[in-house]
This record gives sequence, C-alpha cells and structure tokens, in this order.
Amino acid sequence: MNTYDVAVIGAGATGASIAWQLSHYNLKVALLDRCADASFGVSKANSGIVHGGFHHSADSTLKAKLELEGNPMFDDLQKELDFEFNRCGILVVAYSDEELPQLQKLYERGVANKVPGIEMCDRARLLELEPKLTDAAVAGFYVPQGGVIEPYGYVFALVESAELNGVEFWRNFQVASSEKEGPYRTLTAADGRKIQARFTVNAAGLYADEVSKICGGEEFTICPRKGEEYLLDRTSPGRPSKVVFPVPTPCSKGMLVIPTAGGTTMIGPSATMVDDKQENSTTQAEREIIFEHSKKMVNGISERDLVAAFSGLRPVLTGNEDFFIARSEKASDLIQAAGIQSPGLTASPAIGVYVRNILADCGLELEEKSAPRKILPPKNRARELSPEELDRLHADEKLATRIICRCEFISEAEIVAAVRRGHVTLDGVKFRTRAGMGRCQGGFCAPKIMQIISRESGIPMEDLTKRGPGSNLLVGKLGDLEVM
Amino acid sequence: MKQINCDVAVIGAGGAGLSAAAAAAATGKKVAVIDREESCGGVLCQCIHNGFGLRYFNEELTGPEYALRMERNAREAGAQVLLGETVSAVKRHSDNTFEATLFSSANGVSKLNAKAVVFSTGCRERTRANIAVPGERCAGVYTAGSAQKLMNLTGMLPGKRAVIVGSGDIGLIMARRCRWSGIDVAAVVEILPEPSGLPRNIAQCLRDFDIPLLLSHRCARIIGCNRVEGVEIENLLTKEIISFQCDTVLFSVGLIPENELLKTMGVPMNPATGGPCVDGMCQCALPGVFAAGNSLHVHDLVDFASIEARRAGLAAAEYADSGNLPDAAAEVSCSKTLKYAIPNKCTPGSSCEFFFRPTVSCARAKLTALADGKEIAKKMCVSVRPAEMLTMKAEIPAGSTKVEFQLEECK
Amino acid sequence: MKKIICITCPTGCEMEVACDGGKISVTGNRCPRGAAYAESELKDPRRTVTAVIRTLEGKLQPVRTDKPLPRPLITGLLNTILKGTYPEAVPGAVIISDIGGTGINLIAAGPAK
Repeated sequence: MNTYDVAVIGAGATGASIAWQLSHYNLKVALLDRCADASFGVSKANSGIVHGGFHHSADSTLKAKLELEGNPMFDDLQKELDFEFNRCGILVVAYSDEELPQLQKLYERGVANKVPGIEMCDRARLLELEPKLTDAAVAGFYVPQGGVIEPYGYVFALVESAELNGVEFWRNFQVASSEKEGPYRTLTAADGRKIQARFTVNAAGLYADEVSKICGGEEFTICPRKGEEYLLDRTSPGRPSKVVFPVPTPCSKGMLVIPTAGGTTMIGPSATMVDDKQENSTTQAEREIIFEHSKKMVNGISERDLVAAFSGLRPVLTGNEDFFIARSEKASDLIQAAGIQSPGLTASPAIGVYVRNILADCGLELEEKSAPRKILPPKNRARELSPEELDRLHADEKLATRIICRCEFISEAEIVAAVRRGHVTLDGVKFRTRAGMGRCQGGFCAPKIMQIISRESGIPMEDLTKRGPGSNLLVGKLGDLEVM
Repeated sequence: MKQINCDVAVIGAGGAGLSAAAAAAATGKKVAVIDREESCGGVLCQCIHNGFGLRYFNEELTGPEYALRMERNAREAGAQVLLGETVSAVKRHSDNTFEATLFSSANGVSKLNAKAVVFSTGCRERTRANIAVPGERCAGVYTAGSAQKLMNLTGMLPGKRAVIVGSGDIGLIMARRCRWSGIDVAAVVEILPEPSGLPRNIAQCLRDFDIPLLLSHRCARIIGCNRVEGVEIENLLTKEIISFQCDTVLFSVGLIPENELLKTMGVPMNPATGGPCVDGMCQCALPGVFAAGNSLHVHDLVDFASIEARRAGLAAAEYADSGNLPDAAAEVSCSKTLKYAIPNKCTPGSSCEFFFRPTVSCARAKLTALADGKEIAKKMCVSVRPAEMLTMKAEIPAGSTKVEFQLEECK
Repeated sequence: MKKIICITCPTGCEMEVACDGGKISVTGNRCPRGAAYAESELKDPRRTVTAVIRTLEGKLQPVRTDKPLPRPLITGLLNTILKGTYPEAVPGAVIISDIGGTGINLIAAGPAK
C-alpha cells in the first residue's frame, strides 16, 4: 500500500493549495479527488474573482482574515505558476440612492480591514474608472487590489507544480471508508484502491461533511448554494475593464459583470440553495434575471453574445457562513478545511499556509527540500505569443503553430502538453488550454481534440469522456450498431 | 519567416473559396487559396450525402465529389492551394496591399502578400448556448455538424438514440444519417410552425423513417448527470411538456457567418446577414476586400455559394489588375417582407444578381425591383418561405441612386 | 391519390399522383423528372444510398450507389458495408458491383482519409 505523511482529500483550490504548500518540504503527500481531474468539483465553476477584502469583517471572521492574506500572494504565485491573472480592480456600484447606506457600510468595512487604496467615488469618478457603467450608477467605491484569475487554470497549475515536486495525484479516488490503525489512517476508494497516511486533510468541498463522517470527525452538513453563470464572447462590447459588483445582499455578493482573465465576459452568479450535490443545471428564469441585472449595471451586454451557460455549487456549512479550518477535536490526525465558500479562491493561498501551520502544530516535521524547486515548463499560449515568437518555437516543436481551436487560438502543442500532464478528458483539456471554450463551443475542434487525446494517451476514442466515468462522449464505432 | 506573394489571396477552400480561386486564376492572375484543414472542401468533406451540384455541374454529387471537382477546377486554372494553414490576421498596408499571417505545422509562421483578398470563411453552427437551452451540462450534446464530422470523418458513433433540435437541412440530413448508422431518432423538434429544411429532406430524411417532426415545439430542458438521459420538449401552443428518453441531443438551429477576421479589420458588417456589407462585385466597404459564400450570407445550396464566389473571384482579379472597380453608387434596400437583400450597393449601368431571404411564408408572391421608384424588374415566386433564398437579376439603369426590392403576397 | 414530395432536386415539388387502372397521372411537378420520380415512388421506391466505409488500411472512404437503390435492399447493404473492410478505391471506382442483382453498384464517392 502507498504510505504518505499527508493525504489531502479534494483537489480544488483549497486542497491544491495545501498540497502545493506541502510540496516544498521533505514529505510524502497524496492528493485525492473523486473526479477525473483537479478543480472539477466546486472550483471549475468559480467566478474567478480575487476579492478585495471588504465584504466581511477581518476581526470576526476567519474567511476575511485569510482573504486579506491571500489576495497579495497571487502576484508571486502567478510568476511561478503561469496562470491567467489580472489585477484589474473592483468597483462596487450603488444603482439607487437606497443602496447608499449599505455601500457606505461596506466601504467602511474595507477601510477597517485596511484594504489598500480603497476609494469612495462619485458618479463622475466611477465613469472615469469604468466608462461602460450605465446611467443608473449613482456612486460606488474602487478597490484596486481586486482582480480576476482563471480558476481552473490556477488549480491545474498548483496541482501540476505539486506533482512535479513529488506530490502524488490520485484521480477518480472517491474516499468511501477509512480506518485508523496505529499511526496510520487507511483511506479506501469506492473502486477498492487504498492508501494510508499519518495525517488527513479534509478539503473535500461539497463532500466535506461525508468525508468528516467517514474519518470520524465532527458532524456537520454542507449545503450546496447554486450559482448560475453566463459567459459572453470575447468580442462582447459589454466587457468592462474592472469587475463590477452591485451592493451585496445578505447571502451573496450579488450578480457581477466580470472581465474574465481569459478575455471573455462573465455575468452572474445567482444564489439558490439546492439539495443535490451533483446539480449542474441552468434555468431560463435565472438566465433572464442575470441578464436583466447585468444590463442595468453595464452597457453593451446582450444575449446575442452568449457563448456558454453553466452553474456551480458553493459548499456552505449549515448554520455557519464562515470557513471551518482546524484540527478535528474528534479525530486527532484529521485537519478540517470545510465550508470554503466565497471568498475561498482568494483565500486559498493563505489557506495553504494556514493548514501547513496547523499540521506543524500537530507534530508534522516540516523540513524544507534542499534541492531547487522544479518549475513547470512555459505554457507557450499561441494566443499570447507574437508570430515571430511562435515561428521560433516551431523550429523545435512543429505543433506549436498548428492551430486546433480557432475561436480561442489554441495550438496542438498546447493540447498535447495538457494531455501529457494527465488531462485526458475533454473538459480537462478545455480547462487547461481553453480549447473549445470559445464561440463555437467545440463545434469545430472537439472531434480533433478527441483524436489528439486518444493518440497521446492511448485511450480508445470510444472510451473518451467529457469529465470522467459515466460521461462518455461516444458509444462506439460505425458498424457497432445494427441498422434497422 | 516564409514570404509568399500573390495577386489574389482566397481565405477558405470550401465550395465558395475554390470557385473564387478558379475564377480569379483563370484570368491569369497569381492566386493562392488557403485552408486550415489538410484537404480542400471545407464542410463539404463531411457532407457525404448527395444533393450537391445540380445547379453548378448539372449533376447530382455528394459533398466530397463536389469538393473534388471544385479543387480540380481551381488547380487546373493555376491556383496555388495552401492547406493546413490557419490565417490569424489580415493587415491592410498604406499602399493598399494586404498581408495575411499564416500558421501551420509544416511551415511555421508565413506571411502572404496580396493585392486583393477574398474571404470565403464559411459559417459556424449556432450552439445550445446560443439558443440558451436550460438543463444540465452533460456529455452527448452536439451540434448536428460536429456529430456529422464524428461519424463521417472519424467513423465514430455519438450515441444510440437521439433527439434532434431544429429542422434545418443539416438536422434532417443527420436524422437519416443516424438511422442509416443504427442510431434511433426519437423526434425532430422545430420551434417554428413550419420546417426550416427543404421539403425533399423532410420527405427522404424523416418520412422514409417515420421520424416524428414536432412543429411549434421547443427543447425546454436537457436532463442527465454525466451523459444525456432525456429531454423535455414543450408544445408552444398547449404548453404541455413531453419527455423523451435519449442519450444524445443534436442541435441544428441555424448558422452564423464566420467573420472574425473581417471584423478585426474594421470592415462594416450587415446585421441582417451577419456578413459584411458588399457591392454587386462582392466587394466590402474596404477596397480590395471581397467576401463570398456562407461568410457573406448563409446560402441554401453550395451551388449558389459557388456561383456568387465566381463573381467575387473575377472582381478580385480585376481589382488586383487595375487597383479599382466601377463605383457602386446605388444603395439597395428592401421591404419588410424581405429580411435582407444582397448586395447592399450596386453599380448603375450594369447587370446585377441579387439574393434575398423572405420573412414571410406564402404560396405565391411578386418580387419587384424599383430604381429610384421606377420598376426595372419583376418576378413571380412560388412557395415562398424564410428557409428558401430568392434570387433576381436586374439591369440597373445608369444614373440610379436607389434600388428597392418589394415582395408582395398574391392572394 | 397520393401526395409525394419530389426529391430529385432542391425545389421539392409537391406532387399528386393518381393511379387509374395501371395508368398513372402526376400533377404538381415542374419538370419531367418529377413525373418519373412519382411513378417510380409508387411502383418501386428507390433511394441513393450514401455512407462511409472502412478501408483495409483503416481509413474512411465515402461511398454511394451509382443509381437509386430499391428501398427494401438498403438496410441489408448498409449492414454489410458498415461491418466490412474494403480496399481503398479511387473516387468513382466500383466497390461492390450489381447489388442484389439490380445492376446498381456501390462506388467510391471521394478520397479515403
């Protein structure tokens, strides 16, 4: 059986960040995920906001403390990990006079949280910062340290870098049972695979309640809060230069207009409590509401530019809007990192450090690796390189100038690199490279990408999936079915 | 970086581009036709069914056969065919010449210099998201064209039982293609009260197989956790919901001209067609830039696209030769019964062919052309439907400033 | 009386076919091909069959019948060719000749890829 110092359950932003932190030390670390790839749970549908640190009080909540610590960490992370990140700034805008008291309160919280550069703006100043705001904008405040990242790109980069530095990533590993024996806990997957570890970190997102139960930890429930998001084409005239927030409601930060790090525009999310942890549907009603709201916020938004609709689930702890990150009081080898809802992505770099410190307090020896850290090869995104740079790359890599995804301008070399890093599902390749994410939604390139995945991974075409077991893309070859 | 020089560059080697290239090359000009795929024909390669070529070749051909003939014509006329090359941008220099940047695995990045450029970049399919169908995001949801590509170019089966959303020709053709591959087709669903595809495809692709066609119905929801398990179809008249079990949903809900290159060049676009504004020689508002085929406006038949592109190719060759073309001084407009008239401008004192898409359905209608209020041509049209393009040739009197088309229903 | 949509060209004439003691009369057709199609559709309906088949080298080759095939033979032909493999043929070359004794051939309708 594979034996580890630490097993991190859940390869979303939280678990990936923890595993990545631990990859700096002489430790054996396993990262387990129930899905076919990292970020496929909660993180893939994240809005991708690096929040500004004004929504919650840093004195009374852990999430605000970690959000404020996490925000400035992204610059260095981006330099090492090469994910799409843009510190474009956030505007919180009141669209009626009734919202002004709440806006003021939020601004004051930001000031109390010592958010750098936070600035109250009248309408004129708002328009100077973001000319696309509608006539309804009354006043607002500006948070320059806010930004956007590509959430899956960030999580993939953390996991790939962690893997490169010794962390073992177990895909499709759904923890079904566990047994504590002596210094080790054995974790058994639904398919029978087993590993054992001295410490277990529960970063299982929506399933953190079940994992806690399996490991004999605290009893709590995670209630999914669904958010629908609508993605607009990169040519949409409604793309603002900054993230535009409305004045929030008690259970949500409201529906935003987001200039995504990938160059598109996203509107949403909604916020609805749901029962099913596999819920991923979108609805006509929410779509209408989201478009109506965002059109009131920013000029130029139109259904005509709609490219994709999707929804995600926030893992909310019942009865507690804060994060729950602590050593379990019931199972001493278990560290809980549960209820990581918004601003979990922003907080994630700080969560990695925070959990590392808890593990150290638990007696895990942290001895930094003496060998230099291995750095991921450059992504060589065709979209970002000049023709001259691409032509130079072509000398060594012929596929660097073969364009597979026309809408997002992704080369075959990028897709091959993704497959070779273990991303063998269509969604895995899409989230890693953006191929198939554009206006044709893979209409042109999906068959080609499937052939490339099959060729590079050796998986037969008919076994390829969209996002793991059960999501097969094809049912067989021509001739397999009887013509009636 | 490799440099290629030519008189006329044609971007896209499908049914339109190959025709434009053949026509331009036949005038003796140096022509290069570029395609991102490794073979000519564009979408024709995956259209293995017959029904092509009756108007252009007087013979019924399959898509690959049509493509093969077009390619032969272009090559025999002397056009250079550059395959596997993706064009990322086209720049217009101050001396009015053009520079296209090409990417391929064979040649890396190349620069193609030309005096005139024909854009025949085709169209893409509208997707589930474009018509905002709610429900889950599961595997088994394809556009009809990608399913066609998977079956005909990779030899794979996308599913076992499909519901097809949209009754456009691609959807209808795919219904038969599914049945001829052993895939069951539960229904074809059309949001409009009448089918969008050609009557002959209703007959040979649906009726032959007893596939139900549900008119005035829409796909209200897709169900399925990992793979499609079913769809909910709403009867728009009764609001009743019908559930179908299926593992595949194919969308055939319209085509969108692909003009991202033209848009980045700042060429004025026509919101009614999704293509650029053009004159009677298929020239865009930017001199030396031409457009033809489905990127100009979506055609019913490839034959029409090829015929139109021949004009574009000839005009581009003439432009490459002389540096200018006759002034298209007359503005074209149309009545509300027509969604659009193409071209948007024409040259007084010349003959011009016009294409229209009606907004109305009727058994008989009169199409009239007026030049500055005076009738210059008329034509009776039978079984007029939005799904079928209308055409008309007219002699534009010298000195005309406005040409208007009117379509009136005949009782 | 039977209503038939002509499939011989994209116009798709809606025709009415009457059969009076072996004598067939067709109305609604705009050309003689329509009348011929209507008559055939009544007596012996036929369709041009198109498909892709696998070559011995594992490529895919588009094929079609060189004339419309009697409808009852279509399913059998498809099940045979979809399960088989065939030598790569140049476009136009016969792959299966005289299908079911009809004199109709299956021909390559494009290059193998």
